[in-house]
Amino acid sequence: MSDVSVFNKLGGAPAVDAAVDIFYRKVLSDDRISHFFDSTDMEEQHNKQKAFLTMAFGGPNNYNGKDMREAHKHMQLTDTHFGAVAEALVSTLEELNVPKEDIDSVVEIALSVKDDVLNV
Amino acid sequence: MSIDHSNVIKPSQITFNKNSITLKPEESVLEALLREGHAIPNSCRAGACQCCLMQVTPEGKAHLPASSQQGLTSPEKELGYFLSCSCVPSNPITVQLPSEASDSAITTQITEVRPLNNTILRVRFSAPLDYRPGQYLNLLFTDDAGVQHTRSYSIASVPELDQTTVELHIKTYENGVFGRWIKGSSVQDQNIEIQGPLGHCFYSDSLAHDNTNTLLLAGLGTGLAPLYGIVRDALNQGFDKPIHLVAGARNSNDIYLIEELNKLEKQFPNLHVSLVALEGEEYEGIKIENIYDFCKNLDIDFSKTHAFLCGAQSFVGKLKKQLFLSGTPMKSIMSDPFLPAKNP
Ligand code: HEM
Ligand code: FES
Repeated sequence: MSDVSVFNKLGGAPAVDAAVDIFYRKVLSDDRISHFFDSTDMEEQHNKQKAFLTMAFGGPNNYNGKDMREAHKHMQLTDTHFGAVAEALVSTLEELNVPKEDIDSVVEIALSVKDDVLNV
Repeated sequence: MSIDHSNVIKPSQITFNKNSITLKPEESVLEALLREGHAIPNSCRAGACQCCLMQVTPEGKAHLPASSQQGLTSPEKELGYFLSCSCVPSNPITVQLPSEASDSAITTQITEVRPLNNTILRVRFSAPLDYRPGQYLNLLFTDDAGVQHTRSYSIASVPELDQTTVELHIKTYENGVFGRWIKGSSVQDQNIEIQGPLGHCFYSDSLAHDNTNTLLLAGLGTGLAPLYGIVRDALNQGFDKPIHLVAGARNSNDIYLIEELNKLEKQFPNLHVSLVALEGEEYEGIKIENIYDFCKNLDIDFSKTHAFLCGAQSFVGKLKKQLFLSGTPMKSIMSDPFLPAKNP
């Protein structure tokens, strides 16, 4: 039940482009989670953030629950980590003046993969 | 009533590794290649992760849909890179994986070897290369023992200004293979094989027309070589907004090309050259300061700055993060990290 409409409503791939720098800056500046993202290859990380945002915006993607488990397994993530990423996501969208109802849809999508991401 | 054939979408073709593949309606280049059993890296298939990056031949650039270059930098676009998962071409195109771009080597003769300081040599040769200043070349040479070595060096020359003369700045190490090879006898007459050009760190004319209001070029050591090419290219193409060129080194003795840089600064009022070293004597206007702090304190609007960073990987990574957190968009930070050679 992929909800492509939020992705399109936000403006598609260019919206992801507009959001990714803001989001990545927040993540890199948050001591709770920055160490996960502070790699030597910033471009690669930046592109992974785009994959993340595309998915969180309900855009087309090729990931399934198993992929999400695999991608995050080695990090041993907790509720705190998940909350920090969700906060960064919400404040990014607020900064871009995205309407509240669309932010709620994005949060819903993020919550729908929470168990896979936390590997519980 | 007649049928308008111009509206009928004809199946398009792609050529990959000399194989032609006819695309199914709405099929992307990536899907077609995977269907035919080619191993093309991919992940999100939504134009986000850039795993599926490929390159089209120069003739094909006009046939790439804009969506297939969404999110790429202007140098990448100029070189015909595109995201194969997001590319449904309207006309036949020939595509390849980026790494295959330049496997063939050409042979040329070194025409000049001159020391620029204690450890850095200026090496010149003549070659009809189609390159952009700031790109790099692979040099292939064989040492006394008959062992072949490959080293990558950035190009400091500008084709429009230096014609076919190609200039490299090469740092030699006490026991480095290139230094020993080049200092060996009658090397001037020795042939050298080159591969390339490679790399995406170069000036693009679009920077003169978008909302960029400053160029920041920062380099450590021979990171200055590509920057010297890029800055002259930008000035030659008429970029007239402020340009800050910061040349750094560990010791002030290691700063080189001072005369050339001073000359350039006198010639172009929008160019501001700064020389910074971590230690050593202050001379010729060299400032003893940490290069990261120096860049942080520049009086520029980082969110409208386009940066070129060249030098050791640790330097490039650290300054890139600093600029990004100060507001410079990731897409506006071009870099060429020098990676350590795999063999001594
Ligand atoms: C909110 C739900 C989340 C979603 C939808 C999500 C989605 C993704 C996606 C699509 C990727 C790219 C996978 C790939 O192609 O390699 C990824 C990678 C990554 N995620 Fe998440 N993620 C979520 C939560 C988190 C959290 C809470 C953290 C840690 C605080 C995190 C840290 C990472 C890291 C570090 C990577 C990069 C892994 C690597 O370098 O290979 N993610 N995520
Ligand atoms: S597969 Fe991710 S951009 Fe194409």
